[in-house]
Amino acid sequence: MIKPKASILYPCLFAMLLMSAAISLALGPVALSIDDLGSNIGQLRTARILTGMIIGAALSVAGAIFQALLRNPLAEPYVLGVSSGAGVAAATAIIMNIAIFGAWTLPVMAFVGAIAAILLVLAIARSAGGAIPVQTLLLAGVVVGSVLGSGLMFLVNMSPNEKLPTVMWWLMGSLQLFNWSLLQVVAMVTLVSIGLSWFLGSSMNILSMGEEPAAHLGLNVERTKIILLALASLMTGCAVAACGLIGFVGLIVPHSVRSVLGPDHRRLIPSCALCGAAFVVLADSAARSLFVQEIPIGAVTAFMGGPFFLLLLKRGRGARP
Amino acid sequence: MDLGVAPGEFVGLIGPNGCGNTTLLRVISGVIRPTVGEVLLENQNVSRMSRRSLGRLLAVLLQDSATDMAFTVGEVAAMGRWPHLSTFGVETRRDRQIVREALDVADIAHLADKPITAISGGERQRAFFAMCLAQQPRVLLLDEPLSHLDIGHQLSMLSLIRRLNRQLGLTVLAVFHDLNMAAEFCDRLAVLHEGRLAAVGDAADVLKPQLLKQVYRTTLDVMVNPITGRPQIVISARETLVRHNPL
Amino acid sequence: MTLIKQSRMLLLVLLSLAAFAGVILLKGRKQPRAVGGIVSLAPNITEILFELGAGDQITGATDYCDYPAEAKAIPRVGSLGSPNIELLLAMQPRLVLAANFEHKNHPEILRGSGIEVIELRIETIDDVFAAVDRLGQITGAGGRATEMNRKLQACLDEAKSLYEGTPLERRPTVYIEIASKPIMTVGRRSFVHDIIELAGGVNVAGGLDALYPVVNPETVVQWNPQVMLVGSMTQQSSEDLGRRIGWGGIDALQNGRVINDLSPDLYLRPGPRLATGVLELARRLYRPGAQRSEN
Repeated sequence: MIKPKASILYPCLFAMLLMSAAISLALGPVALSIDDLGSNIGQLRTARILTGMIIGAALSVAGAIFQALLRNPLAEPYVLGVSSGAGVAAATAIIMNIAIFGAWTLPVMAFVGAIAAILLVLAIARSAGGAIPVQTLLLAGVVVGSVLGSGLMFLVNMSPNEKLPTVMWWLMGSLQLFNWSLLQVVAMVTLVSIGLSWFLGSSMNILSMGEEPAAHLGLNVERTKIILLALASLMTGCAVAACGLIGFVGLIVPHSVRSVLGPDHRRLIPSCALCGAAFVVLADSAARSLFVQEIPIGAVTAFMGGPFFLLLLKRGRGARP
Repeated sequence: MDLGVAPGEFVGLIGPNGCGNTTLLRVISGVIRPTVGEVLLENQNVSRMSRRSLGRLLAVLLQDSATDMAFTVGEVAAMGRWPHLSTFGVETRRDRQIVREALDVADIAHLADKPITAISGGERQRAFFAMCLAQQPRVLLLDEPLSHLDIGHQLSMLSLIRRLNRQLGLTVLAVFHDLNMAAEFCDRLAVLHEGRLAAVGDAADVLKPQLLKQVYRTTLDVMVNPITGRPQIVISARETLVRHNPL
Repeated sequence: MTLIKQSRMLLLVLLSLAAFAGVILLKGRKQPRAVGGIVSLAPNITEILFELGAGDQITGATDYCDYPAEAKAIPRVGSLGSPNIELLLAMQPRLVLAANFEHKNHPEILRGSGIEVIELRIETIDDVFAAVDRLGQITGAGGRATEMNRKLQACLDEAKSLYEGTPLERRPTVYIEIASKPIMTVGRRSFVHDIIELAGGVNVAGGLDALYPVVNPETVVQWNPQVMLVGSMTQQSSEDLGRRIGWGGIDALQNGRVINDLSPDLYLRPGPRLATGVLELARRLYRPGAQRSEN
């Protein structure tokens, strides 16, 4: 664990992020330089980079929150059935050609599916007294996830041939956004949520000690849990709505950052946001430029993240003894 | 039950496994709401106090502090200041000073930079004790504070608590399984049996063989500690069985 | 758990099992009768048969067989290339026509039961002509087949006349979007590419080998097509296209040359209507002022 001062840490992380953005800008079927930023292709790439940053930050912070909330190292943004819920909604929208909201139909439905899944999990896990025990939450998440997952399998099987590429493309995630307004909405929600999560950083520290010790220290445990759950779900729902299912980011980035910088959430949250943003931007540039046919970004994040994480696990002992 | 603890008292809660002493602690700390009756802390009903104000008044040292987040001992102790910090959670110089003192008193300052996951059980308990001290509570609840400690650290922990109790007027209520330690250090003992208060009072009045046999369902011999004059359970290696239906 | 609760649980489990079994048994009870006739496992084959006057001989068709309107009334036997094999065996048609079979052992199974199975490859416009002849033979409508092919060729010839004099460099560059998420267009090996060329256009993605390549939106900006063809399959209106990030500068969008009134079946289904598709596309490419509704 290293403990650099905040005045050194954040500028370093920002610089790393900018470098990734620069690399991503330059790579692609057409060679670009800074002057070309205003051009049409420049606009496309900039949109893609910004999307990558927002999604990367959102998923990483959501992952950190879920890991603190559920006190389980395998927790990540999709653990409470979010991916299956959003997947079912998105697949339905694609297969049935639903277009009520025009170009916004797919993101809106995916978001609704994600949130509906979480609400279902909450309803199942809620005990008589209104408290939400963490273990039950996890199990309920698994149950809802698998039921919805089977629904998704059914939908994929039933989908007509010409819809299949679109469904699969969504399930594997992609940073190709078509309109600025969607990006703006997602960016606003994400940035506000990250800010609030940062503010709750010391509460998350206390909560990691266990719910009873946290209560004894003065934390309103149930209220804090609900707020954290809401923030994390909101960020995940937005990310999934905009870009489909990009996996691994929410699991790897918080663990990696934690094993280097320690578990203090007042540092962890902003660092996860910056590192996650850089990670996704870099992964996307690889996905775009390695082969002529674009690789789904989920494949790249898993491929890049897995071995790196293994390295960290072997070197330090991660966050677990 | 009706139990009163005066300010500055050191009361020991004893009783067999499953008698409800841990539950009682959790009711007092407000984690469990009583279905009947109330808990008054400094004449305020605990159920109506905010958790934060309760946290400034009362600290609880639990038995198993299981966490897998690798905070350092210093960071854990610093969490004790939480109920006193402003909304933004900014620590002042005074807060840091209090934490340093708490670490010193708990004799764990030398491990301040070590992750809490990398130290022994006894050291971990002292780290959490430092956290309790950093809360600067007026009341301290302890759930089997001696369980992970060696005899040396057991005695030093209890002497420390007693010193805090005498010098700072810290009110202490602790659950004990070791009757002799309880008898030595506590002002009064409260005996719990099947969720009820079986006896409360001075150790000499409470640690009587008939009561002990009824509560612990086993024959125990009591004698007087020749050095301090307090009652002591004497162990002999004859067969002692705990039976549901005494013979 | 008390005895009452236990027995209630048991009752619930038994009831659910009974309901489940009931549903399965009830649904599976319909027994199809042997009907003979011809089963078509591809929509283009269905269209050709109807055009040849043999439509009333069809006793089974796929979910996609929707043209002409009468075809929709034919009982369904499955989806493209993957029929419900048990249903077919029960129906005992005299002939099964398919473009391809998803399960390679289906033809064997059918032949083993005495049903004649003919697989017709219809992947290019030339294949269409050949298929028309073959199907004409099979159904004894040879004369109508020849007439049909003559009409198809006439369509193609009329299309050609529209751009005969135009040299290659002056022909409009065309971008066809098959799907928008991800962006899919047609490569040179696809028959759709041939359609574009026969209509006098130049496929912007003609340099790509893959049948239906997925491309980066940047690439489309680079190609800068003069005409765009989008069908209802992609649900994109021309306004939506113009609003896509970075696409504002594309020629086709600046000049409003987006063709979205051509049914995708005219150029994406390798069947007899392809010739019409070619003609309609050519008209829109070379006589954009005189918009005619599709025949």
